[in-house]
Amino acid sequence: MNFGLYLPLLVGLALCNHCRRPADSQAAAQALPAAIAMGLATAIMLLLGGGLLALAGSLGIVLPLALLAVMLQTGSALLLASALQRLAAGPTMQLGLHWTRLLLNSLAAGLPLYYLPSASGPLTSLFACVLSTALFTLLLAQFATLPARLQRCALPAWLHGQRALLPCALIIALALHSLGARLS
Amino acid sequence: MTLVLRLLLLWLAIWLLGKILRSSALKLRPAAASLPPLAERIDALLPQTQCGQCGHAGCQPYAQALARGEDSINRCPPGGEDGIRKLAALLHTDYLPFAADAPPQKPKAVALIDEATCIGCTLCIQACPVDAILGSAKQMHTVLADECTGCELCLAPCPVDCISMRPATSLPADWRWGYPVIAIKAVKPGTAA
Amino acid sequence: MSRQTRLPAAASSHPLTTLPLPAQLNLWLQGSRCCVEVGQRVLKHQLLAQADNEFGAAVHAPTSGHIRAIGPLPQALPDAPLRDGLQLQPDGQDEALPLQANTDWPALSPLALAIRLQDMGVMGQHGPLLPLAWAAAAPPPALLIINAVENEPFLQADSTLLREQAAAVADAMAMLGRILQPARLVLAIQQEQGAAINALRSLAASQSWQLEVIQAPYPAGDDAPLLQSLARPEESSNSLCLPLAGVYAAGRAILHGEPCISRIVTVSGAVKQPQNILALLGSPVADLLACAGLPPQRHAIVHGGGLRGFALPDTAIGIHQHSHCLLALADQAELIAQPCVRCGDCASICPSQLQPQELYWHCSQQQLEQAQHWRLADCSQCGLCSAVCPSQLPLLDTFRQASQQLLLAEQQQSAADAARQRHRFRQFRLERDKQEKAQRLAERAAQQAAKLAQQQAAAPSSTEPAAVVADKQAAIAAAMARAAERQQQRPDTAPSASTSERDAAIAANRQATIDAAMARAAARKAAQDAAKAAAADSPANNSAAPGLNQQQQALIQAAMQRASAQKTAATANSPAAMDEDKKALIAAAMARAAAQKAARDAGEQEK
Repeated sequence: MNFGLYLPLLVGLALCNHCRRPADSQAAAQALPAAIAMGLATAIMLLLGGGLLALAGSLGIVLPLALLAVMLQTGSALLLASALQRLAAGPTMQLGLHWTRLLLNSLAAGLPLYYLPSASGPLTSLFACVLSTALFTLLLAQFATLPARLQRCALPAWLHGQRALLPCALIIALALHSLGARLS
Repeated sequence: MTLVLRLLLLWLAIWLLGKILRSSALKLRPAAASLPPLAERIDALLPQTQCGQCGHAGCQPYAQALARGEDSINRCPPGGEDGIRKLAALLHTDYLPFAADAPPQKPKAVALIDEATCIGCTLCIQACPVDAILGSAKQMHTVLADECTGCELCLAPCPVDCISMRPATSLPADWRWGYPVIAIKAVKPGTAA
Repeated sequence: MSRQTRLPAAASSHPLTTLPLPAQLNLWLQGSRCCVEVGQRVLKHQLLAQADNEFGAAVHAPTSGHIRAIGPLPQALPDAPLRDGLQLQPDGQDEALPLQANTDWPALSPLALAIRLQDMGVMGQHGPLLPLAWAAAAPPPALLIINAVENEPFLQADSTLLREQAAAVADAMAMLGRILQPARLVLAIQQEQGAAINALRSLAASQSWQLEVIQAPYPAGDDAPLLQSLARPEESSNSLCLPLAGVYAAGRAILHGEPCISRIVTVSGAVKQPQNILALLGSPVADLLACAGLPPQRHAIVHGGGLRGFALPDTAIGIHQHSHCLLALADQAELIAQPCVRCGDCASICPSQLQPQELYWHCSQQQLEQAQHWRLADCSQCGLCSAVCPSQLPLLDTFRQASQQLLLAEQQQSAADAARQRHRFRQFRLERDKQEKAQRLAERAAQQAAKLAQQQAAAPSSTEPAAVVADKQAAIAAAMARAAERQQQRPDTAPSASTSERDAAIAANRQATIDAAMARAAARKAAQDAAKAAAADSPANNSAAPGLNQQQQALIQAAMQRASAQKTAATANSPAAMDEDKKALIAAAMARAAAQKAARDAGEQEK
């Protein structure tokens, strides 16, 4: 795994997140806060997973890395989901922080981080984690505001609606791919 | 060192998420107690012509019927399509086009009494929902143009058909900028001179 | 600044020339009613139209000639609608009515001044120079600003006027200051209008007004920013801004009695000799352009300044009092609005710090609420964004239209609020009238009952006529009691009276009738006895009279005692009876109203 693959994966994940949002007027007004909240939740889950990994390493627990990573990411996602459900059920529902989405993001964005060869040291892995979640938040925000901006473009009729998002995602993914390839 | 940094970042992320959740929660219930009742809020959107074209005896009964969910939002021709959109947004329903059998929309007009024909029967005064007609028995009546809502309720009771609807007067204040179509038009010199 | 830099730079100051007499004058009757007829010959300064409403002004003949037509004519207005106009064909003699200078002007009140200015046809920004409502109501203004700032490109009319007629302008300002009594009178002018400043500096020193030189860039010369920048905080609510041309015309009108028939127009742009032209009102645009030398190729004729002007469809249109500038711009027929490229030029130049590209999007989509959110109300409609837009978007036109729609929506809302209030008051009034009527009826019934009781009390002491009256009253009371009883029994919806109360009331009524009958009988017997005794004793001896009298008195006393007892009983019963009466009446009224309404509804349904 390297950044050249990981960053386009984040684009795909962000697009998937955006497409799974409910499409009513209330959700459209809350799109940007929801995107930022999801980005922050992902950051929490990834930081939690990395921290627990370091804890497990210091406790001397020996397990295959794949199993450990899946367990840690699943555990952090479920922990965050239950905490959110207990503390603020209404806004959580409003912002679309459903536990399945949290789990998906935690696994899809978190697992490749364990296999990044360029992020082997503890400090570099922390920075990789922070930067990738920041990028993920930006991507989510981008997709949340794209429909309103695409409305003002004179696009051909067959590109109206959600379909116009696909070429956008493709362009962003290609750009990030070249950036990531240079990074790794 | 790394652990401390990690914890610091974690705490920052949690704090920010808490902020967002709190602001969203505040937006979720915007002081529901301070809002007036639903019927009042619907009544505030209606055009208050009191014309009864919706089948109710005025705007307030229609608003109450809408608040109870007993009537549809596309029954107010004076409010226009814009009014339907506002009602749909308030009631969280879909936009509905005007019913096919609904009375047509008309431009704003005010009633005018033909003073030569008026016999002073006071029937129109009793019909006017906003007390915009002045006069008394066997005296000539007249319409206060500023107060007239153009509901046309006074037309039917008049026994001598002396009331007609006239478009609202055109003062300089009523003059409108047209919707921009073409910015600059070219003119050949001396063509019209 | 793309389009602005493309425009030819305005020369420092153009000469002032006078337009030769045109072949035809097309006058605009703005809010005025014609008082001449087609074919009539009119003299210069003669009144052609009288102000029709408070926003109109009179129109005077600019020269002598014949009226050719009266009716809708194209006017120099943005959407070029047909407006009421008047065509005058000059006869070239320029025969004038004698001017009557009024020497009584220092005694004029502000309202009289405003009316006189309206009659002289002196116009300001909106309607007469001094708004009539303002002149009638307002106290002396704290700050009066004469606006001579011209920072829109190409405008020179005001500075030319100042340069040529500085003394007359100073006189006019002194006149306004004398009548309106402002605490501070300010002439606002811009740094660039150098010649005009020089002409004024010498005058300002000896006068009671100040000269304010504005240095801020373009929209600062508009009325609102000017008031904001010149007015002190305590003056800001009570200040007035007047255009310079109107003030000059007011001076001519009041001091010399000359109605407003001409104005200075800057003709500039792609003409051979840009110049300021003193033209009669109604002169065709073509004549002014010909005077300045219009080259033969196609041109867009713009009425107004370089930024806010609008294109004229026709050059036969006459100028009016607001025509301060005419521009001939190179033909830009290929100018077609392109989509926004989000260059941000409009946002960086906007003097109100708005985001015109966002505003344009929402306004063109008719999303007025969003436009309000992006602060459309703060747009000063200066036209800078339109001038810099590389896509040639009609930003200014869109904002003008949208803000007017907003204003219209606000007016409609306030009208709806007023209508709602009137409707609710009407409902309240109808309800109140109904209640008052019911109460009146109930009171009348109660009064009758009270009168009846009184008469019953008085009945025994009177002789036969009184007894007859008492008889009748008792019959009426009995009938009423019966009626009340029936009404109470008939509608099942009778309000809340329990059966025991009703029975008590009925019993009381019956008791009252019985007592009345007994009193009547006693009184009749006493009267018969008295008559018999009188008949028997009067011829024989009068000695028996005291005895009889004593007997009579005893009888009367007994009757009175009975009556008083009965009265106490009646008073004890009466409140309940009254309440019963009222309730029954109200119930009956309600039943009647319901029946009427049902009948009406049925009638409507049948219809």
